[in-house]
Amino acid sequence: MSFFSKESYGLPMLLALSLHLFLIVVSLVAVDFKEEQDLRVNDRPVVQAKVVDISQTIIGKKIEENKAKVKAKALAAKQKTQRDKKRKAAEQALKDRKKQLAQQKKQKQAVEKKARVAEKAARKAEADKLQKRQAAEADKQQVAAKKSQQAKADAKKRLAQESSKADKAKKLAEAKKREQAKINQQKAAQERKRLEVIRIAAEQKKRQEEAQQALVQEKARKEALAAELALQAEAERLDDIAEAQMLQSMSGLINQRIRSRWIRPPNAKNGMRTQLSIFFLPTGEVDLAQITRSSGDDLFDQRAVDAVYKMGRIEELSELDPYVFERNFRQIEIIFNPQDLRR
Amino acid sequence: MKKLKCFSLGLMMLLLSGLAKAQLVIEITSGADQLLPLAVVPFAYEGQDALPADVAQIIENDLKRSGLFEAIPRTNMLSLPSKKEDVHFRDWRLLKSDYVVIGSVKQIDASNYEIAFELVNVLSQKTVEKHEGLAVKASGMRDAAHYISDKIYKLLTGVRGAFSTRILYVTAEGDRAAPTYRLQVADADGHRPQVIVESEEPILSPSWSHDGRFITYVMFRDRRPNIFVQELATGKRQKIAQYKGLNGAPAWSPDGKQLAIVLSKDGNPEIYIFDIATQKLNRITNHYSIDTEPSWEPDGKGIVFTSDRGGNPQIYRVDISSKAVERVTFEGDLNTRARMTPDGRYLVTVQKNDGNYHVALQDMKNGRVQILTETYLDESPSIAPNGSMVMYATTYNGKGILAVVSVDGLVKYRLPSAAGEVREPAWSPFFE
Repeated sequence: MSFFSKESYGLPMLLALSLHLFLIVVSLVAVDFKEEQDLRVNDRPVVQAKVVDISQTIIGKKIEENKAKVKAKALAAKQKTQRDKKRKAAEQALKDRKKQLAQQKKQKQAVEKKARVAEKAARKAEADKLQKRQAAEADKQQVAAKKSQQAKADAKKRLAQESSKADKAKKLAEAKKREQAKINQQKAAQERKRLEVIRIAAEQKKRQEEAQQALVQEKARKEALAAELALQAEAERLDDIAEAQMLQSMSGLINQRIRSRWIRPPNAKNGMRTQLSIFFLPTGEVDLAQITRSSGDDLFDQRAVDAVYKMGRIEELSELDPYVFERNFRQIEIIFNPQDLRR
Repeated sequence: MKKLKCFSLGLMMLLLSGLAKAQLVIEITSGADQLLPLAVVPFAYEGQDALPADVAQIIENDLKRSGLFEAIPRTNMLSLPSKKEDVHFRDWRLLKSDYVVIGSVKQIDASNYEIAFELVNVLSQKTVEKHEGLAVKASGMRDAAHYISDKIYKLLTGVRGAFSTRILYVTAEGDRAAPTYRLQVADADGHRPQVIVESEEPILSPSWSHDGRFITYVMFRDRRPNIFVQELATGKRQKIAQYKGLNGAPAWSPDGKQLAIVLSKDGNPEIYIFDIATQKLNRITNHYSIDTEPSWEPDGKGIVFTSDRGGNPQIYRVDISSKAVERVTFEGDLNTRARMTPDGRYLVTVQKNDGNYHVALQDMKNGRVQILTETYLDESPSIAPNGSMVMYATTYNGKGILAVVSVDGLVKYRLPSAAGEVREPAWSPFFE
């Protein structure tokens, strides 16, 4: 039974299988994507309120140090790759220069050769010309001698005959001369053709070499880029972890500072909820505290704002990398939601 | 396929870049709840005569006594501003004062003054409240101070202040065997006492009408108790009950139209409701044991009272319309003199434990009981109209005095003691 015969389920099965496979692959991509996103969400600052004592600020510092180390390492690696690249580039330049020189030499040689060949041809043509002239002269002399010898005998009789003979000889010489020029011309054409072929071959070879070189270069470049990207990704990953840890300890610190200064009004009840936006200055001072979601009780809201202003300057914030500060602490949200009251 | 992967990666990065900008959120679920620090700067004074009262000091004392504030001592103040533009916020922040009260008193003529005050938030540098041109008589300087205290208290705690309220109490002076009894009224801080009634026979159970205009009390005449109602402003007095046997413990209903009283005219002490307009009596309890010390629930639907129907005195509740009775207190050897907080949430009683009488607070929601006082022989608790404080009679150095405890039990203070024994305090309602 043939696989593709009409009676077989082979083809439909194949189609079904491929469809399933396609769906699985698609779903895998989708799931993959989602999981990774979730993962990232988890190590992003979903920060729960936690008590942080002074030791945690030390941890915060340590994290900073580690981060600096990782950064330095990444920087060193980057610098090294850059150095390598530079060195390679220099080498390449040297090579290129050499090649260029070689090429120039070759070209010069080719030109010289061509010149030599042309000279040779010219010389030969000159010699030929001379020979021809000599021959023609000898002929002339011979003719003259004959003429003088026969002049006496055939003084008037062969005058017309003799003149036609001379014409004939002249014509012959001319024809011979033309023939020679033609041959010379052909020879020169052949030479030119040969040189052209050589030149084309050389050019082809050169192009091939160049293409090869480019390929190798491209590969090296790609590898270097990939390595750099990997390094960068690793550095970023470490950065992210360090940053998440720093966020954790910093928000713990802020939480503790505010909590110890939060004086709830007597009518405060568990479950009341006020949300504030706090704007920090890079010095670690509170620039502004704004109610973004009121509890509905002005006094409860006001005491939350008061607690934030009472926090004073958070020195640890001023020690942060400006970029990290800008990204995380220029504005933060604080939720006041008492759970420890008697009612 | 590779392209798709690339694309999804790109999309992910895009999403992540969005996530990276997600705001840092910190949730705070507990607080410190120290006392709120504030500074009451001595008011500037402009006038010929000596200032009748140190208004700022009265305000400071009021707020301190409430147990919710911590006042910055005057000696620590770096400047004494009376206008907001003179307030150096940095200084007050250094003193850790969250709020500053500033003000001034100006004499207009011999007996008229004008007061201005301003409450400023040191942290936000904003004015919370500002009043100018409060006209005050020389004699009303304390009232003005209490009024300002009430304003500040309300603004900073959300609860109405009770500094302008007054108290009734009974003093017994002179010969221990035959003392002179005086029913007196004074400011809630014990200042400016005035005698309302003086008698050689005991005066008991003073209580306020709910608008504060009338009082009612029991006074013995010829060794027999009578219940009187008296208008404070005019001193006009009316005897409303003079039945055979016991006439006692009058308590005004929240609507001011009725009095709950105890009469034993039918055999043993029972709770009756006396309608002031119709002068009619309605018997509420009917039991062979003693039912006494009635007190209205804030909504006026029920009355809590003391009864020994269970063997020893405990607090019961009677529903006025159905007259159904249920027991309320179960802790302690005995509970008497029940009073309910204005929100109906707590019941204050005198509870006996191991021979000691203390003021106890029972949570009506969950039944939890907390002993508020540690003094000796505590009696007659009376609750401030804002429900924040309980005033009671106790003995100190062998002498009857008045003391105050906050309903959370954290703040305690004694009132300046008058001569002789002080008993039976009754905290007034708010005066509108």
